[in-house]
Amino acid sequence: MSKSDKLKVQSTEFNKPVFIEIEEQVIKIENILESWHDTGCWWEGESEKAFYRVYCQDGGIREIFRDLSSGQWFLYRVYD
Amino acid sequence: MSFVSLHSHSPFSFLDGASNIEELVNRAAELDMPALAITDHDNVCAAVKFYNAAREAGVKPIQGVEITLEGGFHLTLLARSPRGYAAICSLLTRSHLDNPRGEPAVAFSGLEELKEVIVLSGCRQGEINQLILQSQYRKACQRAQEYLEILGRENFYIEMQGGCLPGDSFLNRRLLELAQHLDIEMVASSNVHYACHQDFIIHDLLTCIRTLTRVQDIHPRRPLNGENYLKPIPELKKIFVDFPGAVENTKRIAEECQGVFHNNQVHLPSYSDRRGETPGQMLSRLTFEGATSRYGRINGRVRERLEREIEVIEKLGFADYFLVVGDVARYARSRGIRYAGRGSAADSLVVYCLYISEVDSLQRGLLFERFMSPERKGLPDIDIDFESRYRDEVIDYVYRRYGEDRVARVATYNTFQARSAVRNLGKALGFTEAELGHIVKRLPHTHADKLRQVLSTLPELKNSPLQEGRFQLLLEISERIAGFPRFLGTHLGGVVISSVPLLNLTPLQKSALGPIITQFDKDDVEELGLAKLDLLPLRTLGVISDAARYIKESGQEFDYGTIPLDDQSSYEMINQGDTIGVFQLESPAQRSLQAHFNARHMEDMVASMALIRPGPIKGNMVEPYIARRHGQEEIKYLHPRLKPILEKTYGVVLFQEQVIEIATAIAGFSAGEADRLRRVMTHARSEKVMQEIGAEFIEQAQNNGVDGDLAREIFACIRGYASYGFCEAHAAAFATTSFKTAYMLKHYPVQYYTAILNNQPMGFYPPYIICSEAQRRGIAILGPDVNASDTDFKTEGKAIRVGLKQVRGISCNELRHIAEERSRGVFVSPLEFMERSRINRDVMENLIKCGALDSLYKNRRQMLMEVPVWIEELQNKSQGEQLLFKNHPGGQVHDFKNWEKEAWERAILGLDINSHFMARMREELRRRHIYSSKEVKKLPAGKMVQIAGTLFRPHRPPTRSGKIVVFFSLVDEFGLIDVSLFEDLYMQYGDFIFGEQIAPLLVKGRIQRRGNGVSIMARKISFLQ
Repeated sequence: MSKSDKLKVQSTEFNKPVFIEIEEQVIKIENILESWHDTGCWWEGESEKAFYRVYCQDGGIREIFRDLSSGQWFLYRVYD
Repeated sequence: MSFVSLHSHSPFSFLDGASNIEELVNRAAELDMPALAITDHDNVCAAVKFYNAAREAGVKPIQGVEITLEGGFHLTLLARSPRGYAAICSLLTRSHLDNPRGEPAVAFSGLEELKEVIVLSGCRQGEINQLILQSQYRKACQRAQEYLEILGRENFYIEMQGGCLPGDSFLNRRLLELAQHLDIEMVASSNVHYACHQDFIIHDLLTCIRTLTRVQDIHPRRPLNGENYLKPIPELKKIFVDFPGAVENTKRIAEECQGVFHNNQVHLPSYSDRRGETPGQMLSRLTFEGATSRYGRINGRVRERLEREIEVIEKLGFADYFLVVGDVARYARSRGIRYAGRGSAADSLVVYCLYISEVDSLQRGLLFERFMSPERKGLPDIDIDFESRYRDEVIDYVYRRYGEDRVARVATYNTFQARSAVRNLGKALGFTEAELGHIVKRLPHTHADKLRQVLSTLPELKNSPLQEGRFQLLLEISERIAGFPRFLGTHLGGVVISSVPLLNLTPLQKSALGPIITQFDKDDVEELGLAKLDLLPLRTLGVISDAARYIKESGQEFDYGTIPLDDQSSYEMINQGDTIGVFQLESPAQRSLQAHFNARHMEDMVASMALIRPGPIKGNMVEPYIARRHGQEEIKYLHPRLKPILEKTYGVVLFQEQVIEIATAIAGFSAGEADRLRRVMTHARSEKVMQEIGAEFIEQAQNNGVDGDLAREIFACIRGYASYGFCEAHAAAFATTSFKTAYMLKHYPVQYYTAILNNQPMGFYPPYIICSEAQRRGIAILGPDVNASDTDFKTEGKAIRVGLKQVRGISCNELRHIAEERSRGVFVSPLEFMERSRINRDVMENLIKCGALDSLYKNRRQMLMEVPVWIEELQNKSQGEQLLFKNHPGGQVHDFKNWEKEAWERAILGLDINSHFMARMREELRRRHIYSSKEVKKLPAGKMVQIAGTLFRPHRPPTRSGKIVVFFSLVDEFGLIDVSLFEDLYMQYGDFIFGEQIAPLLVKGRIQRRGNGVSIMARKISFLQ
C-alpha cells in the first residue's frame, strides 16, 4: 500500500470524494460503488485508511483511499 | 434522536469482546444511550454483572445473546421480559447440552419456542446476510419469510450493520430491499466488540489468540477495521442515512425490553420428604433429636439457643435449606464417607445438632449472628469438606435426590493473569515460544494489571526482557485484558440446588471435566437467588481414613472420634514445630509459630488457625499476641465490657465474632447492625461507608453510656484489627482436624505418612519431603520391589514401602496386571516378570533403574542391557517359538555405582530412597565449613554460618510495612531449614531465589532461635559451586 500513488481529491465536508485529479485532469466521481475502512498493519505503525471504490465520469472504476492520520489521498487500484 | 446498541459483546464473548462491562456501560452513558444490550456468543455469563453495572451507570440493561444456529449462522436475541430471558436460557441449555462441548448450535425449529424474545437477523454471519453476500437474494427472501413465520412479525427485525466493511453498501441496499419487500422492520447495529475505537487493537489481538494466529497472519475471523465500537449519534446518522427508521427502531425495541431479573426473589430448594410437617416443624424435630444424641439431656441453655436459631431460620425461610444440607450430611454418614463442616455455619448450634459440623458453638460461645440474622440480607452458604475420593458420590446423590433439572455445579471464570496474558498476547504479537517461555517462568503469579509494578520492584525481573521497549505494547495490552475471562471452569465444590428448574434462571452447559455447570459464578448465582452449597473435596479426610485403616490392619485399636484433644505428647510435638504433614500446621510460618507459641489446649489451636493468615501477619499482631500470651506484655482493656469478650485472645481482636460482640456490648448495636459493621470492616468497603458506620457506632456508644473519646478509641481499635479478623467458627472447625492429625502423626507416624503419600497431591510438601521427614523420624523408606510393593505405598512394620505407582510412566493397566499376576505367584526372574506383567519397554527400564527388580537380579546395568534381548525372546515366543528362560541374564558387566543408582531413583521415583544426593557432598561441604540443617539446629543463636541445600517454596507474604520479606526453605539429606531474607538483600540476591535453579543454594547467614524453632537470617546467597 505504501507504493500507492498520491492523489488530489476534492471531497465533501464528510470526506466523501467528489472529484479526483489524474494527470492534471479533473474527473468527476459519478458514483461511490463501495466504501470501507481498513486498519492495515497497525502493529507496524500503519495508519487506518478509508477506501472508496468509485465509478468515474471517464468510465473508469478506481479504488482510492484516504490516510486517516495524514488526510492524504492515494490511488490504490484501477479496474480495467 | 437517540440510539441504543442492541448488539454488543462483553469479555464474556470469550476472546471476542475487548472492553469490560463497566467500560461499555460508562461509554453508553457518556453517549446518552438510554439503554444497552449485551449479546455475547451463546451465553449470558455477563447478565448479573451487566445488570448491576448498567443500573449504577443509569443505563437500562437489556439482556440478550448472539446464538449460533445449526450451520454456524448467527442470530441476535433480546429478552423482552423475565419470561423471554427464561426462554433464552432454555434455548441455550439445549444448544449446549445437545451438541459436543464447545460447539453449541440451535436448530432452526428451536426458535419456535422463543416467547417474548425479539430477534434481529444478525451480523454478517447471519443466514440472511450470508445468502445475500453469496448473491442468493431470492433464497435470502425465502429464509427471511421463514424467520417471520416462526417468530412473528412483531418479533423479527432485519439488522443493518455499520461496520464499514467491503460489501456493506451492497449488503445494506439488498437488506433494505428485502425488508421493504417482506414488510419487515429494520434496526441499526454497530455489532459492538469494544467501547472505543482505539480498543480495536485489543480486539484484534484477542482474535489472534482465539484463532491461534499471529498479527502477521491472515485469517477470515480477523477484523478488517476498528469500527465495532459504541458510536456517537452523528456517526450513526451518517452511516444509516439511507435507512430511515433503523436508528429510531433501536430506541423502540429498548423500550419494549424490560428487566429480566426479579429483585429479591429466591429459589431455595425444598425438602420434599416431610411427612406432613412444615419445614420448620421438621427442622425443629430433627434438630432436637440431634441435640439429644449430642448432649444426652437437653438443658435450658441448649433449648433456648436452638429455639432462637430455629425461629430465625424459619423467619428467613431457610428451614428447607438446612434440611437439605442436613440430608446431604446424613447421606455421607450413612455411606461412611468422612466429612467436616467448615466456615461460619459452625456458628450455628442447629448445624452442630444436625451433624453438619463438629463445632459445638454453644460450648465455644460462638455467635449465631455471625452466620445468620434476621436483619442480614443474603442467602446462607454452608461449606462441607468431604473425603475427596467420595465427594463426587455425594454430589451424585444430590443430583438424584433433588432432580437433575434443579441441581448444577457452579461455574468459575478462568481469567487472564500476568503469566497467561503475556504468554498469549506475546504469541499473537509474534514473539517466539522460547522467548516468552523464558520471560513467563520468571514472572510471579500475579494479576495482569500489576505487571509494570512487579517489573519495577522485583529484583529478579530487573533484567527481564519485558523491560525492553519492544515489549511495551505487550505490557500495555496485558494490563488492559487483566481479569478478562478465557473460559468457563467448574467451581471446586459449589453446587446450586433450586426449587424451580434451573434453566429458567441460568443456561446450563457441560464443563471440561463432565459435570453440568451454570453459566454463572458463585457470586452471580447468589444474586440470582440460588442457594449454594459448597461440597468440597479434602484429601486430608482421605488421609485420616486411610491411616485409621492401616492402624487397624496393624492390629491396634483406633477410633478417630475419640482422639483425646488434650493429649500432651501431641502438644509437645506441635511445640517443637515438628508438624510437617499436619493439617493446617505444616507451612513454614505455622511451624515457626508453633515452635514458640507453646500450645497447651484446643483454644491455642483455634487461635493458631487465625493467627497465621495474611491479615494478622500484615497487621503485625502475631508477636503482640504471643508476648501477651507469655506474660511479656500487659493485657489492657479499653473498657471493662471488653474483658469478657477479649479475654480468651489476650485483649486482641482476633475473631470476627468478637467485632460483633463488641459492637453489641459497647454501642448496643442489634445483631444485624453489628454484623453489618463486621462486614463493612472485613470487606474493605469505601472510606465513606466506614466513616458513616463509625459515626453511628460512636453515637450509639455514647447513648449507651460510653464516653465519646473512648468510643472513638474502641472503634479505631476494632477497625485496626477487624480488617483481618478471622471467623472463629471456621478456625474451630479446622483446629479440631488439625489437632487430631497431629495426634495421628505423633502416635502412628508410619501409618500417617503412608496415608499422606497415598493421597498425593496434597498439602504443602511433595512426597520427597514427606519421605525425608519420615526418615528423620527413624522410619525406613523401602524401595519399590515388584514382589513386595503394592500399587500404593504401604506400611511394613516400622517402615514404608514405596508403591509401584510412584514409578514414572507406569500405567494403571500395568499396575493392575502386575498385581493380578503376583496374586498367582511371585515373580522369579526379570524375564518372567516382563512376560507375565505385559509392561512396555520404557516402564521395564524404569523399574530396573529404580531398583524395583533388584530382588530378582542384583545387577541393574546388566538387566538394562538384556531388555532388548528379552523383548525379542518374548516376540519369538508369541510366534510359537520356545522361550529360552534363563533365571538371570547372561554375561557380566559392572553394575551402576551407588550415586548413579540414587540419581535414577530420584529421577524415576521423585524420592531419595537410600541417600540424598547432598549426603555425597557432605564431606566436601564440611571441609568448606558448610553446615547441614541438622548441625545448624544445634548451634547457638547469632552464629554466622554457611548452609547449602535445594531451594523449596520461596514466597513473599504481605507485610504491614509493605517491605518485602522473602521466606524459603533449604532441603538437604537431614530435612528442611527455613531461611528469611530482608528486602535490601532480596534486591541483591532475588535472582538466585526466583530465577532458574541450576544448582543447590549456598546461604550465609545468622542463626535465629525463637522458642524451639531455628531458622537462618540470610546475608549472602549464591549457587553452590
